[in-house]
Amino acid sequence: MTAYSLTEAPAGVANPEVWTRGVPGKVAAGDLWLLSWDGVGAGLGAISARMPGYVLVWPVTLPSEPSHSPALMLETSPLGVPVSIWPTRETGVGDAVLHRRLGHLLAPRLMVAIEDALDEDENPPLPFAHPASDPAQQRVQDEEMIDRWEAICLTQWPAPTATDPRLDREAASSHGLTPTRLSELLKVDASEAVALQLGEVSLAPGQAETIAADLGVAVTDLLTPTRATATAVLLDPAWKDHVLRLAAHRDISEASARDLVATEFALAARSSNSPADLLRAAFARLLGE
Amino acid sequence: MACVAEQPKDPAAWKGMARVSTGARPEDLESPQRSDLPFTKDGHWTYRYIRSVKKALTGDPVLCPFQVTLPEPLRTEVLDHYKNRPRADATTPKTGSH
Repeated sequence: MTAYSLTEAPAGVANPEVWTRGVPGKVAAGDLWLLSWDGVGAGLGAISARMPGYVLVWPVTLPSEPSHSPALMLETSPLGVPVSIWPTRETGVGDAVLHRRLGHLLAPRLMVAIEDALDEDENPPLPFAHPASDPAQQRVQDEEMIDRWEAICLTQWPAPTATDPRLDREAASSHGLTPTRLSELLKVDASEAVALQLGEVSLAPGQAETIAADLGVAVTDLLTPTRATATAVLLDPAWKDHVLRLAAHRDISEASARDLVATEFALAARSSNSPADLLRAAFARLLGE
Repeated sequence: MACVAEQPKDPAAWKGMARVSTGARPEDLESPQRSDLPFTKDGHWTYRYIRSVKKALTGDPVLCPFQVTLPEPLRTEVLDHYKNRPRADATTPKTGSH
């Protein structure tokens, strides 16, 4: 498969406006989504389970792409063409990769029935695609597909180990923390202690725990929640177009654009506005609008 | 990566569930470090990185080396965790030994 365009429907799609505009709706099981990363359409997937921050999906392919058993054939789709679905190749996909909802594809009960049948090595309630006529070519196509979906699975934002904990200056003060005490506790000089106290720089691993233990409070009572808030809001696919616009504007990767927005949000988040309003303002600042 | 579904209908791939030592999620299955298994750090079995593994490469000493058969009761716990994953209709699936 070549990468999908995000702005032009693949040849043969009968409802191209569905591809280019999408169908508004929440992320939910049974729906068909276009997946993308770094501005490139990476694949099509039917959501088989909604999880916090990610989804499990069944790969879906179009009539213009290779299809063979064990794919199952579905005669109707929101794109106006039959599609192949690949339940045996279910894959975990981070929310950041969800690009555009293309509509409802499969009834959740039907998906469960298919899954149960395949688990028991029985025939599922949809027909298998025909076996490939050329087994050697099928092997190549299978390998390419498995590699591609592994790459989609391993695309992860935010990075699992990425943390940027900062002290919430008001919370720190309210618990009696001072730069002098910080300097003693963390064995840092006065200027660094002030920067830490004001939340201007990140805490190193273990420092938040040291401070919290000294004050007798929970770590979460001391840290600013803003970056975490930005990250959570940014995972909503509704922001995907903004992220890609920023990445193109700055000529940076999608992950870097997301990090940039989260940082911008965190630095300016002390406001009564909603997280969505703050995020919109962060994008506007970064795009120079 | 543990094989959680052999996928007999699929000649090319089995389904794997990864064990991770960072980025644990609330729904993950805890998996402490064990000196008798290749688990050198505390970790979790996670749905997040469920994906296909090529049958043709399984057992390749470099690309996909076989590590160990999980001993009981761990084997059943891991397979049950997979079977208990949330599903499309939001039901809890059947459980039981693999």
